[in-house]
Amino acid sequence: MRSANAIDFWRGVALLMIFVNHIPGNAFGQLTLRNYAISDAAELFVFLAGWSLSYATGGPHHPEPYARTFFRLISRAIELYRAQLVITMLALALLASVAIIRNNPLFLEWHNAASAFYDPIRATIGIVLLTHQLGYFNILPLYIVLLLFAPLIVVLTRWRVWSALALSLAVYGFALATGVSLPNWPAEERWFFNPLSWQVLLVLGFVGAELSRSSERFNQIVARLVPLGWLLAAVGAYLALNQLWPDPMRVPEPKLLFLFDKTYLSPARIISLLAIAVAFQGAFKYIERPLGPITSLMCAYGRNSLAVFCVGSLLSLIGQVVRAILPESFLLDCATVLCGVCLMGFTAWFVEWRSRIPGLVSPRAS
Amino acid sequence: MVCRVEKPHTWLGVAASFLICASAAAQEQVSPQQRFQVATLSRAASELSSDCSVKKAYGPRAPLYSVRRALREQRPVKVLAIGSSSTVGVGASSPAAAYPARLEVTLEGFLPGVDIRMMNRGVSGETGRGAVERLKLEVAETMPDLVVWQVGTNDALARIDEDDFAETLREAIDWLEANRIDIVLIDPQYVERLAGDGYYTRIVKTIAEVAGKERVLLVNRFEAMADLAKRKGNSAFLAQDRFHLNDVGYRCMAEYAARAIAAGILQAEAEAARQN
Repeated sequence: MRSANAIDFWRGVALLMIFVNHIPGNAFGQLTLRNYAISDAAELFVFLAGWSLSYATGGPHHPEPYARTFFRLISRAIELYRAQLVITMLALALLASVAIIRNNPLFLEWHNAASAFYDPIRATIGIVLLTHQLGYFNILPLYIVLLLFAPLIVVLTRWRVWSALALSLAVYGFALATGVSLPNWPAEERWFFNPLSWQVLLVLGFVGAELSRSSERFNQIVARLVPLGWLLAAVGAYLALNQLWPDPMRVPEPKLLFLFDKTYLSPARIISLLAIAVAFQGAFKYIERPLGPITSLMCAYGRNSLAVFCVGSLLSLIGQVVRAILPESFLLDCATVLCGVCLMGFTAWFVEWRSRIPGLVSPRAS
Repeated sequence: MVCRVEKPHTWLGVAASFLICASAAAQEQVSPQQRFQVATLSRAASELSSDCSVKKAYGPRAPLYSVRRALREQRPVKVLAIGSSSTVGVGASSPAAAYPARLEVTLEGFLPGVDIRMMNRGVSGETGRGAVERLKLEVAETMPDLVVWQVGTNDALARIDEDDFAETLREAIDWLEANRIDIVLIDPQYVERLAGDGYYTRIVKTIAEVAGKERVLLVNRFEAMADLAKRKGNSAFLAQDRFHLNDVGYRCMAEYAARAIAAGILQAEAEAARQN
């Protein structure tokens, strides 16, 4: 078990915010990043995934052999794929059960589920191909695609940092300018998170980690950028609090470049996230102690991010169902979030407890 | 607009044509062809097929100026259909039987010679702010004359605060108005189980209130389907799961929307005539 560190902590915070955000209407949704910044927890999560990629693959000084990195990341992608299929099936079964128990077929069309129930022949294929994603169950498909390309990112970055950045930005610019994305099927839509755009955050996270671990100069520059980070974060907070989003009718072409679009990850969202990362880079060591048990809990979430994310996704859905069935109240919102926090904590504890019992599970590489 | 004089054989004919033409010009230049369209539209706006006949299919009198403008400029009318599974057409026997395709065919029947270009975008499962941001983006990408927005089901299920929901609706309506794009709202479907659900019916009521205050056309789907259900039983228009619209249901939904749009064009004509 890793000791408490900033990356696990912020990852855990991102997971908690994703859980809360995925219960629309819940009062605690007012506290999450998206209300105070142009970017939200999803950006933070992907950026930190890139950052921890540096640690998972040995780092700049002792890089592991590329073949090992390749197999490690591909098997991680397969693990995520399995998780995505399992949580999708559980979510569908949950919606179906609620529809039967409440005798209310509206639940069958919640979050894009309708095709799975009314057009199962195509939807089954779509689920397996990741082109049929339930609403809020669309982060893992993004992460899977990113991991499939992660070995290339690792190799390029460790060869020449600029080559990885150049390729990444070129693909990003192409996606923004043309609107190209991965298609959904059977529904005629696009992926909620366009991997062609979102890869840029993973690359920035990875490159950032590699440079901060190898270049003193880089760390000095970043330290000098702190005031700018605070300034930009403050501007973002002002825009977000006053809901000053650019009007799609008024911005010039290519519109995606100037909007705050989430699907295509408009530049404003990246700038917002980087500003926050720079501004808060040293914050962990000040809040680690005062927060005490909360720090341990968030770090436990972060260390076991996949399991916590999966359980959190299902708990969000249950939270939504509960909201739909029971009369709305602040007390209910508190109870929902408290249950979620505890069960996600239990998940993290269980995964680590299980891995400590000799012979119960095979030791994990990742 | 060009006022054409057909076969001016005699000076009398020319003079008569001139007079007719001048009087037409005085009445905001309505050509005979458009008069014909107005007549067809008024008939269309008041008639419903026997399967779909209900007391009240759409809401307040409200003008569709942008659609009227497109018609007068004799260009295709671009319609953007936004909504969840009813818009995508879950439960229909084929895409052609889903409501947007039906609406396109019905409208083209009302407006002979007019090209209706239907664009169909689902906003699945989204509530509140997210839906509006997406709506704005879709509108900016497609630049429609009219948006038909099927709204409310997801907000009702997520128990989104009614005032927040109303605010979201108003924001979208105002934004469309500012960009000179017409809007027709469609409220949630009628579900037997939810007829007694206070929150669900309150969301239906909220939509009607906003539509009334903002003076926006609203297809009263909930009321119309409840009306049909009382008289014919749910099975006639719901698919086997007794919830989703079947082909008849989609046809009725399209009929109501088409009537609402026809009435909106007529209202725009009438208000434009009054202003002149």
